[in-house]
Amino acid sequence: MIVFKTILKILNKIKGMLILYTIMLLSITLINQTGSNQTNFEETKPSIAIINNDKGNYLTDNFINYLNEHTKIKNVKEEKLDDALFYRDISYIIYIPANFHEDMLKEITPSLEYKSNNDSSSSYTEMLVNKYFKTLLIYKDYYKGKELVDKVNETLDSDINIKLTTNLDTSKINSMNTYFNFLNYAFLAGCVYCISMILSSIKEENVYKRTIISSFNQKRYNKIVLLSTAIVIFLMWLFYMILSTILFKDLMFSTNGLLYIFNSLIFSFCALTIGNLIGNFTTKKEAIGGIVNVLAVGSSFLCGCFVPMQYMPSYVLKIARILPTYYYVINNETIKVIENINLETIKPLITNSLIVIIFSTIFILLTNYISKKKQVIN
Amino acid sequence: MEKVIEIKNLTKKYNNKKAIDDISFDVYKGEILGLLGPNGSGKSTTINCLLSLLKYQSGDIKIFGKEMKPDSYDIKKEIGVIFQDVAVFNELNVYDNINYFCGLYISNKEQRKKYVDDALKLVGLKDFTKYYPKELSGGLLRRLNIACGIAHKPKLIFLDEPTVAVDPQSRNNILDGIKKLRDNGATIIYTTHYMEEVEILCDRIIILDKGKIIAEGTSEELKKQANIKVKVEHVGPTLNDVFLKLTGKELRD
Amino acid sequence: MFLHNLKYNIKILFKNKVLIFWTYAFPIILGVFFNMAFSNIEKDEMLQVFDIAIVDNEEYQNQEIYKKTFEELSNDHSDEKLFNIKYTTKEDAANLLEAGEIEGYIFFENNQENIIIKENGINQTILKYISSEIEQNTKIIKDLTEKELTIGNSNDINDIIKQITNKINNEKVNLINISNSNLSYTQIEYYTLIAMACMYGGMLGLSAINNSLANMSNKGKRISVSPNKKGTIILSSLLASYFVSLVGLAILMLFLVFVIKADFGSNFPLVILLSMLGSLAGISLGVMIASTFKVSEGAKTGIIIAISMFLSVLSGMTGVELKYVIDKNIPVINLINPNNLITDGFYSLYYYGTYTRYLRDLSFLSIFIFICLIISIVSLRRQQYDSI
Repeated sequence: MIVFKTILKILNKIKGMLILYTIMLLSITLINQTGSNQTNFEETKPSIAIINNDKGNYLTDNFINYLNEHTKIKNVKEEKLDDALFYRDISYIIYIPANFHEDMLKEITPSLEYKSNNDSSSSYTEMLVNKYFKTLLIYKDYYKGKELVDKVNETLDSDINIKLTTNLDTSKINSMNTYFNFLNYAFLAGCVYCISMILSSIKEENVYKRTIISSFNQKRYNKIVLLSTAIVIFLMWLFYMILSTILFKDLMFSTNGLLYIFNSLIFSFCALTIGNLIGNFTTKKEAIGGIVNVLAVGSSFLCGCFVPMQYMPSYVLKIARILPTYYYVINNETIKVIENINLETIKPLITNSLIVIIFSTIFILLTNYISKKKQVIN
Repeated sequence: MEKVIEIKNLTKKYNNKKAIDDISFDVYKGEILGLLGPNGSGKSTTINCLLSLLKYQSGDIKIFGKEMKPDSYDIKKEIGVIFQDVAVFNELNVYDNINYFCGLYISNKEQRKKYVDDALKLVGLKDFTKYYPKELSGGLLRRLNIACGIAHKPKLIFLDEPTVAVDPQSRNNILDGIKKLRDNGATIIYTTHYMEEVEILCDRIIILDKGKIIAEGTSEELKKQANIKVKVEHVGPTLNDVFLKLTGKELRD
Repeated sequence: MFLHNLKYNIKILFKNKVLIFWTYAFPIILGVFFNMAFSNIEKDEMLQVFDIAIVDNEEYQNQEIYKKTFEELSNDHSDEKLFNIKYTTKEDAANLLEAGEIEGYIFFENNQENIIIKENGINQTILKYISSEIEQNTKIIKDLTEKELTIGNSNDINDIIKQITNKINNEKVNLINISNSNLSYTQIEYYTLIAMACMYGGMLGLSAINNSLANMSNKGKRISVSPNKKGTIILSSLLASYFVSLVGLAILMLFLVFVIKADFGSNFPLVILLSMLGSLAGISLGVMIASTFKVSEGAKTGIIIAISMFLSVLSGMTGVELKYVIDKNIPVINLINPNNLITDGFYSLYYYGTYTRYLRDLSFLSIFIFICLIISIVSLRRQQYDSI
């Protein structure tokens, strides 16, 4: 009991770091949340901005109405437009020159200036703009005035039969996925840091000497330490699970949610073994800070926790395979799209979980080897 | 005899509690003064006030006849301090540590080189110049600590428990070194808990307790004053006996 | 005396393995990770060719226009290629969709086109768009053919259709691209990295101060009883830490420019000026924390790391959107966050042609440095202490 209490005291001193990582986890998840419930087809609407210098005529207004239906027109101040484009808040800026509506109806080809950041949304926006004007320019030789505009609208109003086959609320699941992927960073940085700090305090040479000459049974002592660190990790895991329930409510109890929970439990065990390894490997507190940070940040970047896997170059993902985090994240990505539980869908999950457990076993064996070597103090 | 230090009515409070209570004493040139007292008696506080590191509520402190203030650089030039806790840079080797601290006093490179060599010889670290503090044993580390404090050949030296946790060889070496410094003209204020050292080294002794001076004089004078009857076959009472009688036998702090 | 302290402080700092790791090695390690993770991201955000399936049954074979359009849009040699098409049965298509190998599939029933998808996204939207466009073009042709016939210019339907189809293919508005050329927003990540390295330099300032103050360390006590003005000691220690920090920053910059090939725009002297000022900001922060917080050296180092990390996150290190969101909603935070001022300064040199924004960032950074130093001077003035 006294051992466990001591561990809690050590933990209390470093709680600042844990709080820091939890805050980071929360803010990243909250920022990446998308709002709507998506069980029906919803057109993706690019965010754009329009600088309209040709106000007050039905032709330009109609163009803007059309865009309004298929895009999100954001109201950004002109001096902030360049920033908005750079930071991908908007994908496309259209500059409508004065007297545009007159030029439209003349024989010359009208011109529009634009700014774009070349992402897929801006390519799509450009398609929309081109289609509108193409239709308008074709019809202008045949119709005039309000009839022209009505005709264009009528043509562009299409009714395509498109259906979504999924029952998943994909936007919420995406948020959950982000949360659980980022948990890798929280586990490795926060939990591993705590465990290794605890162990380094206990194994610090003078303290260690005292304990091994005490009358306390060595084996029992080691078991208690192990058990205590396991309890610490378990409590942290529990805390993050409760946090996820608050964020995602009953979605956590769906099949996907429970699979996420299970996957993270396996990984937290792996984090425990990593923490044990580091704590036995070195007692220098500053070294631990450096090792843990490089490990946590490195594996998070390489395995797709900060940047989604689909955006990463393939050679990086190949390198990432040597890290247990890789298999944790692959499982998360698989869970994201699972709809039914059957042998086919579960198999990859179990395989990857086993790989994580194998990693953990290797770490445990390494830890035992190192601590045996250290028992004979030079 | 020329007075090197004159302290008159020094009082220092920590949170309204008097750590030093109206003490006055003088230190004469060329003597080794032992400053003794139980833990918490105000020894370190007195020294820190003398060095102008601590604020004190009242009192006059004169060193070398001049008032001692934080910006008394001419006085500071002639003072050397060795604190209880080792104060060296782990990132520098033995030579660089002594050279650095000496360089805070001596700007002339040739002169400094000679001084550093002399310091190394005095503490017996000539064979360890390339070692780093982490590689030194407790005794050698203490010797380095001392070398850093006296390399610039100060006229007034403060030594605050310099032989704590030190092996016998190092301790002998340190005590010999201090005698050599005195022989070269330095005045030394020496704090310790080891009465045998005081017997060997100190010309005069001041005993502090609870911020006040409770005894002052040479070893012989104090033994006579204390008037202790010795029952065991001894050459006479030791200073240890005197100390314990005056300050009571209870453990402090 | 000044030079003596300067020289030795530089030596001491360079030999401090822990400090050198955090200020020299860690930013470079992070830079490597950033590069590995971000190198593809902008290529990937562009519109990519994606996979779809079309149910190849009798009904589809009858849809001439659809067939032709889809063939064109999946033609490997065409600039306008949008998708790769698998022609399969309905069952296979459904399986492919379930397995995530296609973005959606199309089948025709009762002359009606149906699109089945699994999730919402830009690819699905484009799929819908293409199908709509085919339908719309059909409408246009039908409508205008009737119109032409009514007008009576010609009676040759095929000819009319050909003309109208020609118009559909050729009419377009003239779009002129006036975008800035420097639009790579992953460069911001590297700028935040430099800002973080600058702020980590605060640990160097902290170390220098701790070693010089009597109430901070034993070495400080020794230094305080030496015959030297406190100002000289502190100034030379600070200069030493500034120097060491600049060297580390220079190494980082060289690494970013030559190995990672980060883009800082074309005005290199201004880039260097900003870096030097940023490094000074980090040192000032370190000095301020060292002189105002009365805790152990380890705790102060922890405070600096935590503050630096937090400010880095706010300036966009873990996601550039955060920087933008703050800029939009609570801009004042960005003006007092030194990490952001440094990041933003680099950003404005990279993205904008004029220097107003850069000068604004530089000014606020100077104010930050000034305030930190004033606070430090006030705290450090004390010659004697109540207790040490």
